[in-house]
Amino acid sequence: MTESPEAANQSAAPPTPPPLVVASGLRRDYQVGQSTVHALAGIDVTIAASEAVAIVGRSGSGKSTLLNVLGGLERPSAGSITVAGHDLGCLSRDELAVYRLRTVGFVFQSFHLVPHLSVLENVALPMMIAGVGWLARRRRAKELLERTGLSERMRHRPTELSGGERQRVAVARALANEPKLLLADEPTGNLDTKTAGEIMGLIREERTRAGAALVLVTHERDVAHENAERMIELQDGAVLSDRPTAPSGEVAEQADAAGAEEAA
Amino acid sequence: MKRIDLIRLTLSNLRRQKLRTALTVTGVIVGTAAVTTMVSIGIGVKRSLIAPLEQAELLTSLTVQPVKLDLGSFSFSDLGRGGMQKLRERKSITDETIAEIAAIEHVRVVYPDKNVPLSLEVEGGKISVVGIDVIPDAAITEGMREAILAGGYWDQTGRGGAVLPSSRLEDLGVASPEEAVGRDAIFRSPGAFYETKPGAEVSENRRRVTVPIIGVYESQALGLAGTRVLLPPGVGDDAAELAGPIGKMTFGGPVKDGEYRALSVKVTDFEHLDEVRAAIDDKGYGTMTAGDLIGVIDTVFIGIEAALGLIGSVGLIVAFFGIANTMVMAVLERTREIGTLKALGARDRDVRRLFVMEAATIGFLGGLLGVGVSKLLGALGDLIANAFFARGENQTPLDLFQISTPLALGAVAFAVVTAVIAGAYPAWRASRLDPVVALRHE
Repeated sequence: MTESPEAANQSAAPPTPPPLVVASGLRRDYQVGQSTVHALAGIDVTIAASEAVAIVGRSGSGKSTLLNVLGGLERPSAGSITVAGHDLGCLSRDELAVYRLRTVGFVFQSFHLVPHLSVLENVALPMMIAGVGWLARRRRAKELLERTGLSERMRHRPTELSGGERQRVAVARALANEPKLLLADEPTGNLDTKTAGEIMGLIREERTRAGAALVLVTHERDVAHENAERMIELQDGAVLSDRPTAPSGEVAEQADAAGAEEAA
Repeated sequence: MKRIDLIRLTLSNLRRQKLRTALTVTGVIVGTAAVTTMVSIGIGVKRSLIAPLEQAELLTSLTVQPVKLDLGSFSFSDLGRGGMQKLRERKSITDETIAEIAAIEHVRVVYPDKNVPLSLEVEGGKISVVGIDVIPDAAITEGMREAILAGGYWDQTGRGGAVLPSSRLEDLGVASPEEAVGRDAIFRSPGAFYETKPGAEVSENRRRVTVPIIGVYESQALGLAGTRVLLPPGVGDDAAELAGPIGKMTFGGPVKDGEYRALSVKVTDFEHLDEVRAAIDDKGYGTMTAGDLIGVIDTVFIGIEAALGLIGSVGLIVAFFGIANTMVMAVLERTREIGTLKALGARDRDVRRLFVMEAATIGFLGGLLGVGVSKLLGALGDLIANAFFARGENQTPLDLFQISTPLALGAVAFAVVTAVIAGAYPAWRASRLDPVVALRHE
């Protein structure tokens, strides 16, 4: 009896995909004058590919620092962090830049668009840095902008756009190089409630389409519940709680209440 | 990042700050124009010295001397014992030597060098000092025939006489070439000119040789040699005798009877000059060509051009600080943008190249326009120089500011290099910015 390769595959147990992010004992210290601030004081976290995780906590709890370390903008002081096979603690400056270029997409609270480039050029910028040709990157940038509903605004400068529109541009830009990990740092912090909802909808939709994992930093628990499958709460640079968010609003509220009690 | 995108971004950045870019570029324009103009003056002056040496007549000529002298490696020690030793080793140049050299392949004609100064009085004109040259018929070239303005040479007119250079007619009180032909030329020893007070009679007891003027040639066409009065052998030899011991002097004292102080050799064409020269050198004689003199002038001018260039560079040094200042400001202003670029994945070297490219572009624009400005200044300068020196119609206009293609390219390259160095430090600082800090910058 000859075994076909397909049969062999079927007989073997499907391998569990390795997690996208594995961090253990992650520390990040800052020197402020004479004293040392422990922004991250030993964090262990694992994030699966295509998982959506919200990070909540008060300001100063280390949310943004964790996001910056995940995004390769800051190096860990101690501990290890591996994202998509890259050991971020060991990468050179250049390798870290390439990691930011190819593996992650960043959405910032204050957009960080380049003011003198058009909307189209801003979205094409990561592809330009990656060395993608003019025609190809314009085609992709246009496609992304059409999906984000900004095809009418492609030639405008960012300063001519509303906050919501700017953040749409930033989301399109973050997706330009097809990242495996989408990082959003308070993406709706500068927006009104209605626009914020639209932006989060866009992020959700686009990251599902791209099949990327999402790490969303927010201080609003509602936003975390609505947009993430899992919520990690940080306090003083350590993980306070790490649990799934309930899918429906009612359960979310209960979970939220429980979280609040736990925190108190 | 692709090079084309680097250029695109650079131009976009420069356009954003139009006024500042324009001011910085202006600094580079001034600097480049200063360097280029200074060096071009050096080159122009050198060219105006060398050009008369580069006439075809001179480039196929060489002079044979009894002593080997090396103009290129002259040093003061040559004046000492070694130099005297050389002079004592002097060969004697006789009719035998002439025959010997005439036998060398590619030698067209050999004749004794009888170039001496004499005083010349044109009948009904004025008296002046001229150089004469006694040349055989075979030494009259096509170029010399083409240069004739009036009359002709003795082998054409059938009459032995003097052929005058056009550039000396005014000194000799003759209005035009046509007026000179047919009048008498009276040669006396050069002292006669200095003894003569304006308007006074020349003392008649001086020996003199009188020959008719049979032709006038265009001085410009013969370059450096275009100031000499040409005479045929015979009357020419008689005239040369008037100069007395002056015509017999050579290195290390007067020549003996039957010896010549030097020979003129005309080669069939320029390509064979070195070959003929080597053959004569092998026989132990010294040789000299116009090329040697060009070499000496070249050597001297390397120093002069360098000094002028250095003075001009002061302008570019000032421009250097202007560029550095502009780039430092640009980095400061664009800190957030640099942070964005780095957060999106630009490497240190991408950021560095962006700013270096920006500085280089400023240098390139300034250099290019600076060379243009220098060309305009040069044209203006030449115009003024020619008006000031009121050059005669028979003379080619001065071209003192010479901006050759290598000089223009060199000046632009110099401006670009200066700019790149000025931009290197700000660019490096930009590349080392921490993206997190840069993004927070207000």
